[in-house]
Amino acid sequence: MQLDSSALIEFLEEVDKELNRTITLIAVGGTAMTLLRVKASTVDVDFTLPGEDYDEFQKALKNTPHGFKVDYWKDGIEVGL
Amino acid sequence: MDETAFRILDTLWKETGRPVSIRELTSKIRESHGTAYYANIYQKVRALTREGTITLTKAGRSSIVDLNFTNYLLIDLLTELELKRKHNLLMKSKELQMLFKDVEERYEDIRSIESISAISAERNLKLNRAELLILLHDSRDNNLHREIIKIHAITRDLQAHHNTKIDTIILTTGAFLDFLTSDEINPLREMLSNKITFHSPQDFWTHTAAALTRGYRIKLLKTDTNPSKISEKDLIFNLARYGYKEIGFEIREGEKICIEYIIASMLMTEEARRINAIPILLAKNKANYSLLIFLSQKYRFSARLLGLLKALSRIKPLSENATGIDILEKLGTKEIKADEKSIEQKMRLYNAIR
Repeated sequence: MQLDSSALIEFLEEVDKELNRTITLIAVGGTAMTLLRVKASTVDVDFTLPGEDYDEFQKALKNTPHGFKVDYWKDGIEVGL
Repeated sequence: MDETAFRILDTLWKETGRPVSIRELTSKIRESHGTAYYANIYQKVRALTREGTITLTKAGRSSIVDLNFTNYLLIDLLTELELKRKHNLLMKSKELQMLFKDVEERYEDIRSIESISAISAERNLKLNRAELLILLHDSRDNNLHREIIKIHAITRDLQAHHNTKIDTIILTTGAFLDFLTSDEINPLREMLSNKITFHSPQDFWTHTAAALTRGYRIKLLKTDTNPSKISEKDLIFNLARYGYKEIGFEIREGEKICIEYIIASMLMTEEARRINAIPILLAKNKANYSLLIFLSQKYRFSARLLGLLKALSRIKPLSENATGIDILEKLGTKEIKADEKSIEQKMRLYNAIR
């Protein structure tokens, strides 16, 4: 499914509701370009995040039933989807 | 039906089971629709009462408003309300238009389907998913299992075609009414205040109205329980209700929660001790496997659930368990093996087997 920037933001807002604290999430590749409106849309949802925020994000994502393919990297190393 | 009548009927259904005065009704309409004026609502309530669509009962100084399910014409009005909600939603989303159309076309040949509802359609659309409640005619027919498998197969095709995750809960109307009238917190009581029945709404309302006039008491909930957030107190309390007391934990009165949510909660916390206790609950109680599979798809624990069901089937064969395994396998679930030896020991300890 092609996601434009507003769809990405809406998805992140839903995940945000499940977070217990503020975390740093860095959009990567097509996701970053879409959020910056350099690209119209993206299929993959990719992020990297600092090690200390990884578990919190993973938990929030797990608690948000969704149908996207999300890949994320801990300190730049791929660990889950 | 004019807009005020639409809002009144819509709100009264969502408040089913809770006594609502005209003043409360006005404030609830304002909450969900933005504006509402007491004088207008009062006038419309009086008119709907004269028509027999709703009832007004004196309770002290206020009057309690309720839908009059004994009025045959109410079913048509609720059907109209459903079509209006569907129209409003689909005007906003081309994607949902295509999905609903395909769902109706693809499921058309399945005779046992009575109605199909979409749950929290707008919110789920943002998450690239859909939740469908599929109600089947009550039947003792052995074909039912085959039809359920067929529905799941079609759902998988629809998922692939629309690139959207679709989680379905498939229940017979009898099982559905059991959930609605239960005093436990369960997904059915929670999901119905935010549903749109887009396929055969008339059938849905005919059965619901018939149940209510037979004296069934339905109380909808506005909560949306996430199983991983069930408190430890409620978990311990319910585990004890279902025949599993954990040593070292004090049991305190908590909320009554359905067994399917409790099992989902145990699977989502990923503690081996709790996960290995699930077969005890399944052996000692009657769980609804369709609901359990729905939760396992929604919260992505199907692989672990399949492992547990298979271990249980070898230790204590149960027919519903075999059906659950069959559906999960047909859904393409890859099993995460359970610790069968430890489960068997635990089941013996808790008298789930001899």
